This record gives sequence, structure tokens and C-alpha cells, in this order.
Amino acid sequence: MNPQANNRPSPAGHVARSALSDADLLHRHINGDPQAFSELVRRHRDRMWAVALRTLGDADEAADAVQDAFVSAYRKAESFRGEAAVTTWLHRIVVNACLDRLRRKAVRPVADDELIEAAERDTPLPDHTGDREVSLEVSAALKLLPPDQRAALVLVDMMGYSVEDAAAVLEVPSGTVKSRCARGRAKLVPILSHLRNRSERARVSSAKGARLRDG
Amino acid sequence: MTGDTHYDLETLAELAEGLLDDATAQQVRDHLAICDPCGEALADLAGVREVLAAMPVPAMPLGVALRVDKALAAEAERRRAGGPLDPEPSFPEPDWDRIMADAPWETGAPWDEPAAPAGERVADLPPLESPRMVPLTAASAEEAVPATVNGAQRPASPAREASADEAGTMVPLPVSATRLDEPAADERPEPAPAAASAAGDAGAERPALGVVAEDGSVVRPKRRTGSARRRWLVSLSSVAAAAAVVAGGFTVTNTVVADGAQTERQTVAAPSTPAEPSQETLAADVDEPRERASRFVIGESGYNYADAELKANLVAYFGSMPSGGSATSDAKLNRCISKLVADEKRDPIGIDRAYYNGNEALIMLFWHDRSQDLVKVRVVSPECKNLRKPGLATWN
Repeated sequence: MNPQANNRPSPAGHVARSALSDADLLHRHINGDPQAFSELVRRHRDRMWAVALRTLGDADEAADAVQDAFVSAYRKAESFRGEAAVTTWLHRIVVNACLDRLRRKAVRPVADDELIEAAERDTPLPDHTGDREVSLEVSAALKLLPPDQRAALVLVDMMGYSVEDAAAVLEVPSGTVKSRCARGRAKLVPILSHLRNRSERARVSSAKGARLRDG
Repeated sequence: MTGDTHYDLETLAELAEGLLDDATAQQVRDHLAICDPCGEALADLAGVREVLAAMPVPAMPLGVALRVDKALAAEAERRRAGGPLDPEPSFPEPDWDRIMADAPWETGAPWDEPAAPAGERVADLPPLESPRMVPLTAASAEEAVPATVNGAQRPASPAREASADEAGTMVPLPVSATRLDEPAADERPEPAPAAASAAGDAGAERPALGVVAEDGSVVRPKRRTGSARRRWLVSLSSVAAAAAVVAGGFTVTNTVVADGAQTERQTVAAPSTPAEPSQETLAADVDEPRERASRFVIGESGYNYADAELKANLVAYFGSMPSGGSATSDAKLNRCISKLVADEKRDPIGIDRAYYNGNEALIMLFWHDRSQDLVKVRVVSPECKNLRKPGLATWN
């Protein structure tokens, strides 16, 4: 059933942590189990990292935010009241850590032209096509959105959470999440298409470029 | 209607999310039926969703995972050491042994502490390296211990009187709650109402230094604004620390120090009123009575640092410490400093409340490698978030 239980006998009366639910782990953590929180972190760190990296668009910032968030969750565990899923609660802490960082940052260009110029500056012209390039484009484009819209799009469109789950994480009504997503997508369309066109112009001699040109 | 007018992307996106009222939605749909550009725009919106959904979900890089583990291990250590799970309301315990390790009178033997061990935590730590230590005279060193132990009970101890005369401005401050960090549990002084009230009167005139109480509150001085002069704040978190400072005749003995010969030298010798801790906390405190005191000298230069300066020699910015100053009662600031100290696992060699690229910032320096004159520079916001990647600079 549980491979760890076989490989590593647990002390008597000690259930293997990997078999416990998130809520049980959090409860154990609050009651002083020194390993319980680490197990929670192991379970969810990749998702938390993805959320933070997408939201902040910068690995260093994301690392700081995730670390702060986990430390904060460690300390605030007692404030978890079990009304939401532990994952929702963890996401909330991570997202808020990211939003705090974003909101403190300097002014953001507002006009569409400026947005696009900024995205161009952030996205080096690619010398080959590929996922990485698209990833850079998307990352650069996302950075130009207001933090609230960015967070909503990360949760709903990128992480694939339901609008309701995203609303629970963000602590806003579902309608607000939908509206932020709608406005965010509307802003992303021109930025992404501009970046895409630019990339395609840049590789006009490539086979793919030729194919595209010829329709 | 033809394609002469088009709906903007936002309206189309709202349509797709079902956010438009029925009448408007119907209008837009009717338009979409006959307008190719708007239909393409709608398709573009769907395309954005697809692109976003297709973005790979990266795994947390090993380095970040290790970093998180390390930070949590530090938290766990703090928790094991008796700190509350949620340290928000309290001042995280400083490490008194480390702070005092370089004090000239510190022979290595504990005070008259009962057999309570200093704890593995302390044993692991290297002695504090402080860049500027002001040695005490033998006389003041002799006075240090009694003053530390009994200072709060004996407001008129010779050391204190001498110090007061010398400084002329010493103000004993009342403490609302006391940290349980007196050297020995059985010597914890009783509340001294008379002294406290006298101190209160004096403190009202010039509360220059504060004592950080268990709940993080400190007597807050008025912030002088608009002064170009550097100000240095001393944050004291314990009676023991306060008494030690007094005994030392104002030669602050750790971190960035130095006492200028000018006005406004102040310190605190606070009569203490033990807080009412939970039994749990009390027990922890008895075990580690001396770990909880700390004080850092905090500059408030208001200087606007840029990256170039934070990569070069920093002694000019942090090395000189003017006299005077006022206390920080900023619990948030104190928590932040403690957090960074915990992060770095060592005491800072300099702290400045200033600006970084125009943003309010707390700059903290730690020795990275003293033999190579390398200083680690942390720049954090008032909310204690990194404003800049921790970097290295030189001291001299």
C-alpha cells in the first residue's frame, strides 16, 4: 500500500506521514511533529513554485516569495481553520506573498504601445523556435498585466484551477475572478500577437517561416 | 450593422466569460455573426487561453527546494528552542551568549546561572565577530556583572550613577513588559514601582532608547525628520542588555559601534516588571535565560543607496557611528532585523534605515568572509522583503 511503510519501519504508533492527509499533517505540525510540515512542503512545493514563478516572472523573486510563504505558513499554521482545503490556504499564502512583491514594484507602463515596447525589451529575439521562446514571450507579456489580473490568469488559465477555487485562493467573488481573467486576456492578445509576429519576422528564412508566409 | 464598428477585446472576453448582461450579450453575438474581425478577435482570445494552458509547469529547482528546507529548519530550531509557533507578537529570541561572547569581561564561564546548559544551539555558533569593539576598562568590567544582575533592582548602583553623570542624559525607561531574560531566574527582580514611575517621568521628556518588550512594543521616541545628520538608534531588548551597557560606561560592545563624544548619549536601565508568560514560555526561558537579549545599533542615514555603492567599500557608510540617537519602537523593524539575523545566522555588522533606488529600505551588513573583507549586503523593504538580491561588498 504505502511503499515507505515497508522500506522504513515507523516507530510504534506512528503512522507513515506520506499516508496522512494534508489536514492531518498540518494538525501534527501544530502539535509539534517536526517532520509533518516538511512532508506538506514536499507535496506541494512544485505547484507553489509554478504559481510563484508564473506570477512574478522572475526566478529569484519567486524563490524569495516561496520561501517567505512557506515560513509564514509554518508559523501561521494555527490560523488555518479547516474551512478551506490546506492547498487553498497554501496557495493563498503564496499568491499573497507574490502580490505583495508585485505591488511594491515600481510603476508599470500603461499605454498599449508602452506595454508592447516593454515586452520587446524583455524578450530577446529568438534564434530558434521552440517552447522556450513561447515561454519567454508569455512570461514577458504576463509581467505587463496588473498583479490582480496576472494572479487570476495564472491560477485559472495556467494552473487550470476552477474559477471557484481561484476565487477561494484570492478571497474574491467568482465574478471578480472572471472579470480579471477577461481583462487580462484582452490585454494579452495584442502583446502576444505582436511578439509572435516579431519572432516570425525574425525567422522568415526558416522553413517554418516560409511555410507560414506561403500560407 | 456591418463591420464598421467593432467590439473591443475586453467586451469580447467578457462575453466569453458570461459577464455581459443578456441584452448586451445578444447584441454582441448578433454582431459577431456578421463581423469577421470580431470573430477573429474572439478566436485570438481563445488562443491566449490555450497558450497559457500549454505553458509547462516547472518543478521547483533543487536549489530553491534546499533553500526552503533550510529556512524551515531554522524555524523548527527556533520552535524547539522554545519560541512560540507564531512569533508575530513577540520578539524572536536573540542569542545573548553570542552577543556577549566577545565582551571583554566574558570569561566564557556563565554568570551565576544554575546548571542550565547554554544549549546546543549556542555551542554550534561561532563567536561573534564584531568589526569595532570597544574594550572596557577593567573597572567597568568588574562592575559589569553585578550591574547586570542587580542593576534593575538597584537603580542607584554606582555604575549607573557614574554613567548617568557622564552622559548627563541617561533616561531610565519604564518597561511595560519584560523579557524573561534576566541572567538567573531566581534573581528576577521584583517590580519596582517607584523607580518605574520616576523613570516614566524622565522617559516622557526624552525617551531615547527603548526596551523591546515581549510583545515587541517599545517606548517610541519622536522621529526627527529632515535631519541630514545620521542618527543611530539603539534597540535594546532586555534588561540584561541595558544593564550591561550601563556598566560599560556607554561603550557599546558589539556590532557597529562606537560612541561619539558628543551629546545625547543615552541608554536604558529599566526596572523590570516581569511579564506574565505562559507556563510553557516560562519554562523555556528558565532553560535559556541568556539567549534572548539582543541589541543592534541602527543607523538612520536616509541615504539613497544604489547598486554601485552596495557593491563597493561600505565602511564609509556604516563604519562611523555618530553619537546620539533615539530608540526604535518599531516592532515590525525589530522583527525584520531578527528575521534577517536568523536568515544569516549571525549578527549584523551594520544596519541602516535608508533608501535603495528611491525605495525605503533597511540595509543590513553581515560578515561574509572577514579574512577577505567580504560583507554580505541585504536590502529589504519595510515589509522585510528583499528589494535586491543579497550580494557581496567589501568593508574597507
